[in-house]
Amino acid sequence: MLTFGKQNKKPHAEQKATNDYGQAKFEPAYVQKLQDPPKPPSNKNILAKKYVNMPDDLIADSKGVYGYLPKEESQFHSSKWPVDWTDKIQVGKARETRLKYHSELEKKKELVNTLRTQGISEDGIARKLVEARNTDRLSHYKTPESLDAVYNRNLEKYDNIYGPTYESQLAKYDNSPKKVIDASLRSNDSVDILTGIAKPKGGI
Amino acid sequence: MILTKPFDKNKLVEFNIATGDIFEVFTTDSTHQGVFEKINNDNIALYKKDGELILQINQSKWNLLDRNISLQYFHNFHEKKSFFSINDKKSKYSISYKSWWSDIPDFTPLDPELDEEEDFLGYIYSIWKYKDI
Repeated sequence: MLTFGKQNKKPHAEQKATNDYGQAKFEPAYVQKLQDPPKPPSNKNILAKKYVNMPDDLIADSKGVYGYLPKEESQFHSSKWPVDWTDKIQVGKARETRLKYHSELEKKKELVNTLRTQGISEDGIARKLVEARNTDRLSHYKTPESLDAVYNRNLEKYDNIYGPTYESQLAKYDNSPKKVIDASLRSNDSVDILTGIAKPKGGI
Repeated sequence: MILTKPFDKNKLVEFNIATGDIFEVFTTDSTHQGVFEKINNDNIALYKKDGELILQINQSKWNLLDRNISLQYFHNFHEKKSFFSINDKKSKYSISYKSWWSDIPDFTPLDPELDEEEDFLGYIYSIWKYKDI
């Protein structure tokens, strides 16, 4: 079996992910009362500015930390997703993970805008985004062992150590660079609402 | 029809719509008309036909653009298994299979967008949810 231990010294391997609630360090500032949710300075542009259509899999419920809970059939219902959405501490951790994702998303949106301003083709932009997304995704893996497992999986699935290739993404999205771009910039509204990053239009 | 496998090095297969069987092809003059993956022992294909977006699993077919169709997709994080189901008024299919992240130590996928990128049925679920193809 191939191993790629030396590649763990690359910058992306040194980044620390925050998506493991079991190991993540708890920050008390993230469990303030609901009426005054935390707003880390670096993410001010993201917070409370995203209004979305109410997803089918959520219901308004004051027991939810941000006023909403998943329906039982939702993939995010606490019987399936490892977060109790009524627990401020757990939701605080989920919010941290989500803020990191949105921080990466904002950078990718800025990249798209910059490349479009430079007159780069949609094909060229989509190719850059796939590479950027692969870099972001690799930053989630925190240990040499997990990175080696991911590298091996990527080689097996995509013939590319870093993750999906542009060609594989094109195949998934109707051979459309624009759809590849759209998919790279997607954000799940349900989780964003549950973590207080988005609000339903006309909601509470 | 020719389908490609985006989660398996973009390999090509010839898919028989009538039987749900496949044959691997190595060269072809035809362009692919959809995507394919084999999960457990089931042949799963997604393609467009006559204005419909067809999800075919073995010999059963559903139009993902049909509003009467319902899909479910979620993980069992403890068992490291994923679950997918599709049903309409006439038929239902469900499958439980090893999660894409199950062999990665110390990792729990808490960004749902990862599923669309890493798991074929997570991708199918996303296509249905966003109607984005």
